Amino acid sequence: MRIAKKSLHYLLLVMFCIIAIFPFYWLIITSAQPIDSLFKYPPLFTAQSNLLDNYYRYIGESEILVWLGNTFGVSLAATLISTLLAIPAAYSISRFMYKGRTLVIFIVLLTQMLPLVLLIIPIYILFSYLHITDNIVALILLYAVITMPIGIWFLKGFFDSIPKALEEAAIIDGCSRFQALTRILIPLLAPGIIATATWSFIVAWDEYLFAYTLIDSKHLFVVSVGLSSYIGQYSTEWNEIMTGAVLATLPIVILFMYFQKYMISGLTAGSVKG
Amino acid sequence: MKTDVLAGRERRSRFDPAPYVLVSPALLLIVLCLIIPIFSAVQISMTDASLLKFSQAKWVGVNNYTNFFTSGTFEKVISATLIYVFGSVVLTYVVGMAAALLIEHTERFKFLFRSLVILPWAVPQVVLVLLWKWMINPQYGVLTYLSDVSGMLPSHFSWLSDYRFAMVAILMTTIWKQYPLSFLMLMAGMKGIPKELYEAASIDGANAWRKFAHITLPGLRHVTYGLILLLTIWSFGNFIIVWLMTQGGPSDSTAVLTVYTYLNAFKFNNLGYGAAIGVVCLLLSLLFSALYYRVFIKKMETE
Repeated sequence: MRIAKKSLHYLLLVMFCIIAIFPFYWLIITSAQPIDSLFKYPPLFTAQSNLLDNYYRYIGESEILVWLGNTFGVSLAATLISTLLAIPAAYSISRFMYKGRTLVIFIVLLTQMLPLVLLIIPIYILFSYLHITDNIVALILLYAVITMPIGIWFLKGFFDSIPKALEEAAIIDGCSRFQALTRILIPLLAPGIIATATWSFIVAWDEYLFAYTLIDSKHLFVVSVGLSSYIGQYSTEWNEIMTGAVLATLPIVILFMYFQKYMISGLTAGSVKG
Repeated sequence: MKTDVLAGRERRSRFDPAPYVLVSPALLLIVLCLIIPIFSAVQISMTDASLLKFSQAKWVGVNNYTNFFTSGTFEKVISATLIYVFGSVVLTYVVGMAAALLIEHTERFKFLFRSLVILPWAVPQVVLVLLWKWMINPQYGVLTYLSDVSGMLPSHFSWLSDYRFAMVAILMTTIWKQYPLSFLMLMAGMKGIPKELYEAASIDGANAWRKFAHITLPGLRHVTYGLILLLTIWSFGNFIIVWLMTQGGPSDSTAVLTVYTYLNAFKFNNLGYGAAIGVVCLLLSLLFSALYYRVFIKKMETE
C-alpha cells in the first residue's frame, strides 16, 4: 500500500515535470532543425543537424545581436534608474510616519491596476506631440517608471523586516541618519536590492506593448518586438524564430536560476505579507 | 504604530522634510507617467481622436461609451474577458496547488523537482506565445500530432480557428507560464503551517483528504486571498498573450477588453473609441478589487 502510494506520487510528479519541461525541449529541438526536416508530419522528435549550425548562420544573417543589445541596454538602464529611485522611496514609507504616507502607498498600489493598454494611448499622443516616438531614451524612462512601483513595494517589505533598533544604535553611536542608511541598512538589504533589481530587469526584458507601439525602426527594436515581427511573413521559418527565441530566453533563465532564492524572498516579503 | 527612527531627537522640530524629499523623485515620475495619463485617457475617451488628427479631436461626450455598450461585440468582449480572467485565475491556482502538494510530499531530489517545475516562469511572454503557437501549428505542430494519434482531436485540427479551442489554447499557454507563481506562494504558505497539526490529525485517524481540507486549505487562507487578487488584476490587464495568439479572433471570440482596446485604438485608427473600452477595463478591474478588498482582505485584517 505504502509503495503503491509512493510510486503513484512519483509518477504524478514526473508527469508534471514533463509538462513543465517538454516545451523547452521542443524549443531547443526546433531551433536546431534544418528547414527541410522542420516541415514533416509526424514531427521529428530529435534534431537532424548539429545544434550550433543554425545558430551560426542565424546570428550572421539576422539582426538578432542588435536587438539583444538594445534589449540589454534598455533593461539595464531602466533597472538602474528604477532601483535607485525606489530605495529612498521605500525607505521613506517604511521608516517614517507622516502626513500623506497612506496616500503614497495607495498610489503605488493603484498603479498595479492600471491596464498598460489604456496608458499607451495618451502616452502615444504625448510622445508624437513631442516627437520622441522611435526613441530609445524615452523607452528607458517608461520602463523605469513601469517597474518602479513594484520595486518600491518589494523594498518596503525588506526594510520592514529589518529591526529599527539597528539604526537607532548606530545613531546613538554618532552616525548621521544618512550614514545609518548607507552603512547599516543598505549592506543588510543587499539581497533585497538584488532581488528587486532582478525583478525589474526581467519585467523590462519581457516588455512588448510599449516597444511595439512606440518604436518603428528595425535597428531600434527590442528582442520581443523583433521576434514577433517574424509572424505572418510569407514563409514562417520556425527554426529561425526558435533560434532567436532561445537566445532571448537564455539570459533570463540564467539570471533566474542564479537569483531564484532572492526573488522568492522578494515575492514573499512584498506581497504575501500585504 | 510606526514612529520615526529619530523620534527622540527630532521631537523638538515640528516639520521633518526628510521623508518627503526621499519619496518625491519616485512619486513625481509615477504621477507624471502613470497617474496623469490615466486622467488624460479618460478625457480622450470623450473625443473622436484618431491617429492622424488627435490635435483637432472633437468632443463627443459619452458617445463612445454608448456606442460600445450598444454594439454587437459588447457582449462578446465582456464574456471573453470574464472567461479568460475566471479560467486563468482558477486554473493557475489549482495547478499551482497540485504542484505544491506534489513537491511538499516529495522526500528525495526536492530541490531538483522544484527548480524544474518553476522554470516556465522564466520564459519571456513573446517567446512563450511563439513556442506554443508552433506546438499547436495545424500542419506540423507536435501537440497537433499528439492529440491526433491519441484520437482526442481530428487530424490537423486548427486550434486557433475554432472559437472554443482558441480560448482553450490561450488559457493553456497562460497557465503554463503562470502556475509557478502560485506554486511558489503556496509553498511558502505551507511552510507556515505547524507540523503538529498534521501529527495530531493522523493520531485521530484523519485521511489525506480531510487533512488537506481542514488543515492545509485553512492554513493557506491568507496566501490564497492575496494570490487570487494578484492573479485577477494581472489577468484583466494581460495583453501580450492574447494579442500574439489570436489578435482577438476568430470573429472576436477571444477579444478580451485589453486586446479590443488596442485593436480599436491602433489598428482601426480610433483612439477615442479605444480609450473608452480601456476605461471600461480599468473600471471593471477597480470594481472587482474594491469588492474583493471589502469582502476578503478586511475580514483577514480583523481576524
